[in-house]
Amino acid sequence: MAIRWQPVALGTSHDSDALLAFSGDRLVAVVSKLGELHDELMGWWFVEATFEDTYRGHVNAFEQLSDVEAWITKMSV
Amino acid sequence: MPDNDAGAFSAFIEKLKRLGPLDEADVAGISNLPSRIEMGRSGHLLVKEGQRVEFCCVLLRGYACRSKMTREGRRQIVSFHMAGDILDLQHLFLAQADHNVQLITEASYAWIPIKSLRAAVRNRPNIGEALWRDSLIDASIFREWVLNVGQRDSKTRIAHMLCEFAIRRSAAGLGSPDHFELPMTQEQIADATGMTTIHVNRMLSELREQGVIRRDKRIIEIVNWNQMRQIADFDPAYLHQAA
Repeated sequence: MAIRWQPVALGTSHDSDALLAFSGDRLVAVVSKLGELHDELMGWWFVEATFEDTYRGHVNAFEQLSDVEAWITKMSV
Repeated sequence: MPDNDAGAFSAFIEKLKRLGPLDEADVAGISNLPSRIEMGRSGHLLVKEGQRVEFCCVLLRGYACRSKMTREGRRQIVSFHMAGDILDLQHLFLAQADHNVQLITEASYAWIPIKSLRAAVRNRPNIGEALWRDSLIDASIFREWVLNVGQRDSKTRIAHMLCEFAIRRSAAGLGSPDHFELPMTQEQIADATGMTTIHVNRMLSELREQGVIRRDKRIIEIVNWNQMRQIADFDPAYLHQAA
């Protein structure tokens, strides 16, 4: 499943730099880029929201966007 | 099993005294309970879900939590505990552990044989009443936590957890409610509030930015209790002035 990313600004006071993740025309996740507030996780991608129970899992922060894509693909199988 | 040092149970006795009147014979009855005192490191599992239990555990120093796990390994912390707390009073009458009890700091604790504690409850009605009240307040705290996790927003959950910890810690004689070091990690706070560590970090930062708390890593100072109470939706009535 190829993920299409679309930049978006979240209405939050922290980590508002974000991406919408689309699978085809379906919005499957929202991920934000973690800022300096998060020390060693700064620059990582955090899964803010998913829309199906099957996407739920322990891990919700990833160093690379490609890791987020792999996670979404694995979770949606 | 050797008798414990009579002073070892002082925090436990002080807690029971807050729960109900104890006379000298009651205090002696608790002090003379046989026990095995141990020390453990952070993360040490005291009681495992499913285990058959023959001892009750009293925390003498340090901090612990109770938790349950989902089948896929997600943990919900259902309570935090401090010196003087009896961690698994339910085992007085329930043979099998239905949750985990784990240290979150280095700690010392005493194992009391259930038979001996039952005898103390039977022979000293004041002890029985205090323990019964402790169990009821435990249930009240659990109800408040269900409300916290189920219905409150992220910032309120964190603020409520901090308020409760500050008040209980102070009641246990462990220091000022205004300024304290959190014994729990952000991951443990996340597991107690049903949030992610990222959200915990964000909400602690928002409380700091609002000027309600000051924070230096795990050191928390509650700068404005009135505002903190409001944000936290915190009414200590559920603690029944004794927890």
